[in-house]
Amino acid sequence: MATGKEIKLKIRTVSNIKKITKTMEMVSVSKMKKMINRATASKEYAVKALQLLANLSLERDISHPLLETGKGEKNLVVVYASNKGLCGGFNANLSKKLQEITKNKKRELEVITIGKQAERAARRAELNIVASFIDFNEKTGSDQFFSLQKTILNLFATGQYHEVWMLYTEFQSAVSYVPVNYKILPPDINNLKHFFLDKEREERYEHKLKSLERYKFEPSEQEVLSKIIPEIVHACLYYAHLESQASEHSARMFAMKNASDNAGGLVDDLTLQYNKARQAAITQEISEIVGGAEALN
Amino acid sequence: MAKKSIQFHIVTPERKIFSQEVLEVTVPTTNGYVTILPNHIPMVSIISVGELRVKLSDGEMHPFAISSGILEVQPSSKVVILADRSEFATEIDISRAEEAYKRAEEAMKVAHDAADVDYARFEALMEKELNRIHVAKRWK
Repeated sequence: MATGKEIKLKIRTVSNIKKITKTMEMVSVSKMKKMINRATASKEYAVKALQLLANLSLERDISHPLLETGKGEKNLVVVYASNKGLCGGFNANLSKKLQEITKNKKRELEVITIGKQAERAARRAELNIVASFIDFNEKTGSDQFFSLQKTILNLFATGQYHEVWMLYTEFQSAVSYVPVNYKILPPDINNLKHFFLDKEREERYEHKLKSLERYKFEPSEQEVLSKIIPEIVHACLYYAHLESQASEHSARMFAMKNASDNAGGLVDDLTLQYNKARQAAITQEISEIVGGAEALN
Repeated sequence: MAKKSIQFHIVTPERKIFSQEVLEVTVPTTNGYVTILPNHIPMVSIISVGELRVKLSDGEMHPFAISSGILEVQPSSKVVILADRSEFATEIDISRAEEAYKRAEEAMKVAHDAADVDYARFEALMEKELNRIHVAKRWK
């Protein structure tokens, strides 16, 4: 049995760990709240941009190079995960989903990864990584996503890809987040609709589409579409980042909460062990003294 | 049904900037300034760098600095502006905008020898910052 001193040391270590995990939990709570607020604020823009495209595409046959599937055979997937670990099953779930997609693929896949863990997941799935972004975090603003948007548009313009998809963790509530994938290029209204709209919004949206009038384009249809489609891609990429961040912090919050709770339990167990060890030592000493005294008599 | 006011929204990827019933909206598009009154026909246009003016229901003018984006005039007097960035004129911090302008100017000098893409980007950035300064000063 361990001595009192050893146990005491262990208790101190575990309580220190508990302090750290507790702090990380608090930090994640505040970051998660911030990300949820930003995601909600950004949703408005994405929904409006998408509605605009929906309005236009329903009214007449619009055509634009970015609305056609590419000539290439491969599909490009943008994968969002975290840079840091210690966030429970967040990255593992995403990695699992990526492997599932890879297994069921109909076409060759190539990936753009966001976050170090996404890069690792892509390696594990033995996918070709076209580009890897590791400097996006919870402070990243929407304008920093133009570099990613440009990269994707340029790659798509080369014609080597068929479609562009994105895979990220959708934040459904504080306790539920699931990896999802959506097609972003060419933008498919029916697919993206579920991405932005919840049930209640969807009904209003359907209703709106019925009452359409003819839109006038200024300066020209092609120029306007050349502006709108990249905007939608940008909005999607940014929104996915915010959702992924919100999920990551929420996952980390729960992982850290569990860790703190476990550490608490461990401290209790160790304290009990320490008390027992101390009591055993006292009992032993007394019996030694009593034994010694008896021997003298 | 003729309406007397416009339901007007400005949204950016970061947040919703403005959402109110207004009388008229003057927007800098790539084809020049366009004023939209209630019951305008549905239209889609591209916004360029400039000053966006909104006439509120009490007749007061509400100026915004805007860099680029999309203007959508929807049926039944609803106007939506999807802006990359937009600010209410009096909320612009002039000294900070001037600093940003200087930074862009310096970056442009450095980029002068580099790729054309960089040069064009900094030029656009300078134009945006200059616009913010102008708009902010005019409405101070």
